[in-house]
Amino acid sequence: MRELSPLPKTVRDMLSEKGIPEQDILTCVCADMDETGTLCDAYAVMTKDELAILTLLPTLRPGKRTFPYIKPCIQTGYAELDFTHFMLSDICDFRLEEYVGSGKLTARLGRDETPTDAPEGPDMPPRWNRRSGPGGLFGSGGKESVSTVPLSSIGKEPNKGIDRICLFNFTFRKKAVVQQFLEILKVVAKTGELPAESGTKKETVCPKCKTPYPDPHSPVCPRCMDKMQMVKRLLPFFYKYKFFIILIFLCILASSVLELLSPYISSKIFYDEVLAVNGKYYGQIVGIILVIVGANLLSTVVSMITQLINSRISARVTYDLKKIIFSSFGRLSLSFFTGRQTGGLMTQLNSDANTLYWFFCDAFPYMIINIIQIIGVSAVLLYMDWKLTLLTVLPLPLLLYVYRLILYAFKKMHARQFSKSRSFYDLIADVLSGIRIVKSFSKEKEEVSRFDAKSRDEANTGLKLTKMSNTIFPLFHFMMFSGAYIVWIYGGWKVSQGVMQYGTMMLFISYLSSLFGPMNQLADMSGTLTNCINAIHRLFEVHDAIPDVVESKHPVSLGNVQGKVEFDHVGFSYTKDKKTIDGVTFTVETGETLGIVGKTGAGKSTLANLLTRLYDVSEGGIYVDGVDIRNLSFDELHRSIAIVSQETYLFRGTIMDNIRYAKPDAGEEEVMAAAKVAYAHPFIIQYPDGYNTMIGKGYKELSGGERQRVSIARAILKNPKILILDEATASMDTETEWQIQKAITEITRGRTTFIIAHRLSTLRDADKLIVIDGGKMVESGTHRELIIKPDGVYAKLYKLQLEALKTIGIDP
Amino acid sequence: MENMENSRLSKIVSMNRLTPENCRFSLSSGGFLLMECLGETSEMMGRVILHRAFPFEYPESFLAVMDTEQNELGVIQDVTDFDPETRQFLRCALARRYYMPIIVRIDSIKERFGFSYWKCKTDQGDVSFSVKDTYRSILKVGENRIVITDADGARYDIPDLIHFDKKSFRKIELYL
Repeated sequence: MRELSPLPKTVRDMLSEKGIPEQDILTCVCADMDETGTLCDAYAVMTKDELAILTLLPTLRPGKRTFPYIKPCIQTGYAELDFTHFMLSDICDFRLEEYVGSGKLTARLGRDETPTDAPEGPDMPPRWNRRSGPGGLFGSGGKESVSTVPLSSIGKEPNKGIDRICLFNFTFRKKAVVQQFLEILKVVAKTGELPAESGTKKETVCPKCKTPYPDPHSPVCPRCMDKMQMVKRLLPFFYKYKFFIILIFLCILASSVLELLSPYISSKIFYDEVLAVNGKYYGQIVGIILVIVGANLLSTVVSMITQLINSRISARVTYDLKKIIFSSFGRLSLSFFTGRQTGGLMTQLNSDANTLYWFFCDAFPYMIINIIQIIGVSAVLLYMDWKLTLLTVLPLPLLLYVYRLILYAFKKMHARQFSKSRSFYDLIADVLSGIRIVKSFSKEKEEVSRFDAKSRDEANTGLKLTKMSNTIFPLFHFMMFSGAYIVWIYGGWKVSQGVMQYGTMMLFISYLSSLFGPMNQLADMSGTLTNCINAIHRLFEVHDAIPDVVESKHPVSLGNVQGKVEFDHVGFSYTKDKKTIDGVTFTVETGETLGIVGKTGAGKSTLANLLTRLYDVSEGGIYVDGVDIRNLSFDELHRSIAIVSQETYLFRGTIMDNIRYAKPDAGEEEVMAAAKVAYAHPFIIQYPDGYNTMIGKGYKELSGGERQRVSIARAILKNPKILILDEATASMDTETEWQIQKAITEITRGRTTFIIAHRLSTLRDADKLIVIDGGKMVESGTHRELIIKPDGVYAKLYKLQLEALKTIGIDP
Repeated sequence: MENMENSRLSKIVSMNRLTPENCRFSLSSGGFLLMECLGETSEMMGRVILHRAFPFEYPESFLAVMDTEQNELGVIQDVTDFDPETRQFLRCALARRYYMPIIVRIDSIKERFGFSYWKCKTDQGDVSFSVKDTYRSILKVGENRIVITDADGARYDIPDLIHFDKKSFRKIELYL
């Protein structure tokens, strides 16, 4: 039995009683919802010819009361809610339907005779012959493409969905495992046998604490993460600075010792030995003052040395950390960056690197010093007068506890203020960047009042914080001196009795105040350590991230690239639940131009991403000159391909720098020639600074069409064998587009070209066309062949565009 | 010409309002919502799906009715336009599509490395879930209402923070 979820013994027995013996069960899964939305355990099991769903509600016994907490509830058994049972021969067309927060596994009553996903065209082979790979009917390993559909696009349903039934429900927590169940179900329903296990099973639950991984793509359990392991990993970064760190440590230690000595000299020695008549150094005031000054001076010098060493290594340590992280970016795949706010990524990492430095070079040494100080001061005080020491130390734990409570309250206030502040600055950034829209809709007054509301909110929160701080802290400081009052009372009485010297009493008070600081800093360490561990975790997340797209260890070299490209049954998904490209197959000979057509979101640009290995295919292969691109080096592949996409990105720099980015050693004439071919030269030469015009944020902003032309010039300069134009003329006026079309005709001569376009006019001269719909290649052929197809997708698109032109008075 | 233009535009912007006079809803044997158009000739449209246009402000109004091929068949202005039995069908269909347990009590929220682990009691049962980037995963959708989205995409509702359990509120206060 392949257990996708554990099947408890109780449930096995219950199923056995219902006529489903354990040995017949091929696989099982536990969903977590019933039809009414109640959270429960819905066990779905399948044998070779039936599917059964047993819905159970765990019965719980309250946990025992054991001081200081109550143990969690204990499950005592199950109450059966429902049992449903289907013969696999009576149901077909299994689908995983996603709703908002939950989903259903559904099926249709009856036998499956008609395909349910890709529409059939006259030249599309029937579904059961479509795959021709090894393994017979369903390709390798009996894998079937899974129709997992968001509910908003279920697709064609025979009988309009009237005979669809729900097998079971689940919340999104179970989506991944139900997905696996569906894949198996489809195969078992057709063949009666389990499919082969597909590669390594992806763990979604921590094996140690059984909690699902919070990030489904990253099998790291924050709960079980070994904190010390993380810290140990960081030590090598600091190892080369060990001499300086030891030096800092020694300086801080020396500074602490001097700090401890100072009250001893200025209290005990000064009052009891210098000012007291029978003191050892009676009358030597100047001498003792000189000693005090000398000690303070030494302390200052030591501090200065500490700061100098700190500043020397701080920049180096943070530089090292940031360099390692930034260079990690270079080897990471595109998928790491999509879905992450890359703008904030570097800011976060910068802050994390500083956090780590501060922890290791400042907080950690001080932690050691604090421990030594507490032990040292306590030992000295106990030696001097243990009764007085115990009396004065007694209120300290209570004070610390109160202090923690105050800090917690402040933490909340600060968090609230931070949130208001962030909201306020977000609004400003939002409005200022969209000021054009604000003005064009005359919304200035509304925006000012929105700003006013948020600003007032932030000010009020700040005011509350200040009020709280100005009332609570003074009260707390008053309480802090409670220990000192005890010393005054008891110590004062002892001095008046002649049992204790005055200097000793003053020393007590000095040391007492120096005890509270270290104790509080130590108590704070847990929060500081947590911040540090968090920072390490974030830094190593980048450092450890494994790129999805990895260069072959022994890449093949093509030598003189011809430019023949083949896509062979290519399949790919950005996310697990939806196939973006499914079974696309075509060949483009050297020098041919292929037009790729389809609606927005059909998957056209994804083909370009796959060809350039920004992502790797999950099925099939892509071949350049007969060699799988996964066997080529990144360098050779990227040298052979240039892509001009609709979203142009130009770096901050001169126009010359941007065009030359493709070929840094290109001469000025070469660059100008490329610019001329791209029709960029006429507008560049108009600028006062010509090709030296600085572009980018804060400098000259080019229009959309101008950026596109510079981008094309860059691609032309590269002189690749394979050129991809992804909506390259989308943001241009018709005249410019026409001009560029002429240029494109020139540059595509003898070069394998892929033109991805919505506007079919740009594909006039393509040798071949393919139509992509829903990730599948639904049609292929020349323009003439496709236009005459009666219900062809291309023919329909062409007709629509012609009609659109007619409505604006253009009759082509 | 102008009249043709106006009538074409008004056709595009008009909402096909679904009322008991022009349609009838029922449930299939599988428990899915079916719609039948009434009129001169009745037509069974088959399985339909309800989409809330304003899920938080008007949960039972402005419901777009779509067929399985994502064609909008019409809009239900308000469920109360229909008889009690149909209202029941519509509410069931909405409850199935928009699953959002209401948090009644928060037992604990523990933070670890930027994730928070929540243990709550909801109106559907006890749940444990993890939230990535807690501050951004809590969405304020009304005056006192918040929706929490967990790492799997499931959502949980706290409809009224003012009358929420005080101890639970203190646990969540930091993130508000």
